[in-house]
Amino acid sequence: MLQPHDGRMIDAGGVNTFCIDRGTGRAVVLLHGASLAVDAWLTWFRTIENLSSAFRVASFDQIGFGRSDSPPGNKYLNRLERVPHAWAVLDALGVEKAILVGHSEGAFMVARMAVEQPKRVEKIVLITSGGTSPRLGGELDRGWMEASDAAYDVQDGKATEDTCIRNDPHLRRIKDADYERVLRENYRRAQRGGSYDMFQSLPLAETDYHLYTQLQEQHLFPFLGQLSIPALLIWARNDPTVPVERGLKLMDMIAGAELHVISDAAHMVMHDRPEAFNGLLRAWCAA
Amino acid sequence: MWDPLLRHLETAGRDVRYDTIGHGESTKPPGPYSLQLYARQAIELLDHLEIGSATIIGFSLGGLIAMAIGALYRDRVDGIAILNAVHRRTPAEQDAVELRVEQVRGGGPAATVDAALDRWFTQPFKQDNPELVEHVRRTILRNDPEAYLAAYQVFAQGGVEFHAELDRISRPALVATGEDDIGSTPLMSRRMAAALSGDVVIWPKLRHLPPMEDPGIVARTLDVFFRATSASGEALKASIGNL
Repeated sequence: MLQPHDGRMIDAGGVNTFCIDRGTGRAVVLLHGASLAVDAWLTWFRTIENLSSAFRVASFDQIGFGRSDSPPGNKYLNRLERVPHAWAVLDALGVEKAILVGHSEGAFMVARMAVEQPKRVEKIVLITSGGTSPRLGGELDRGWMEASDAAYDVQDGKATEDTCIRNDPHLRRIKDADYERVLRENYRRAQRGGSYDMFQSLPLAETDYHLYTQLQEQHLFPFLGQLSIPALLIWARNDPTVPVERGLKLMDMIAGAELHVISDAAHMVMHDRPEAFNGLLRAWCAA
Repeated sequence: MWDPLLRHLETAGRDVRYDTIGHGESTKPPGPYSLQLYARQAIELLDHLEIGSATIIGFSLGGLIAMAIGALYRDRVDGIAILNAVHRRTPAEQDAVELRVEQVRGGGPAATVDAALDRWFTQPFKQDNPELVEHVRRTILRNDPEAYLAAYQVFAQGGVEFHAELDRISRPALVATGEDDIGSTPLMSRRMAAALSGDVVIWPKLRHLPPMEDPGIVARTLDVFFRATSASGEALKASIGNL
């Protein structure tokens, strides 16, 4: 199995950035989501292993996550503010054009990158993302907002290593020693470094879900209609934080987007159903 | 029906295609037909070919047949792929299909074929592929009127007798349809997949005949399904009509 030490530190626009860059061929860049102890390795270790026999697969810890530098003043950067760093990583790796794959908040960044510089984006893959998809409207949003509150409440010191393991959406479904080991290491690194502290004082727009979707409403939706890049949406059926209805609404906004709903899977769909997920991603990227 | 798809499929093992009762070259006994009858036809075909178990791929009425095979003969099933099939129609949808049954009863296949072709293919595809669309039209019109009506009635009933059985099939399942298939809607596919604990795929901008309009995208979906379920060997494809 690959190990995180197969990665290396690179300078991406002045940000010391942990990056795992494996394989040869067309470039596939993987962007992780945003939560305490989440980083590229935890999210993608099974996908990197699978796809790197057919593609050049690059993934990196976003600014403020994993082994990469904290933002200036350890002030949390939202998913729009992290996009310039992602471009800097592609530049530093010499990746001119890539298939961009984003999970959760990483999907927002991928979609935003496709809007900003479509010539550099071959295809996009958006995976079970509440930070990218539309609200349903009114009462219909109550369910996923409550589920997100429960899943992402890490402020006021509530996130101990134990609760982090106990509430993890993947470990709640499946016993997975490899994943749990990485998650524990990440939690401890977040405490040692600045991540944990950074997550203690998130802006209100990150924790109030009525405000949270404004970012995609203002910086994504007005531009999605003009997008002419092949798009794949991968949703998980059992992810209460991002119901399938929201994926369908996002599909309506992106012309030609294909939607796959993977059963028996929650937010960490790439670990809940790795064969189905990696098989789909591999075939779609290759097509 | 399946030729274009098979040309694109990378994972094809041994494939068996057959005309269901009342269609194409197969026998056309007097009705009524039932999903039980269709399922038994498939199993007798497997017996005849000495195939122990197979992955069942069914399109439209064939999707309902695949569901019935899974419910009645699960030991013979490795996996089920259901393409563009109906599931739990709303009262309005049920009224619409029953109206079509009456039209077929009165005027045979010709009574509904034009509206059907509009529901099945996107407008640009129809314009760009007049010969293929004409071929499909002729195939529909060639149907024996009595057998066509009997099969249409099974389709109109929608397989409701098996809905309570779906969660007991417990085989890898895939349910897929076109984003713009107004007869076999994405919502139906999602609910059917939920009942089967299967995956769902919604193909963009396609109507009822993705296997003919965009066989590449259907093949890719099936390739992923076959690889994920490691279903190799026999694939049995039940088709409605030898389109």
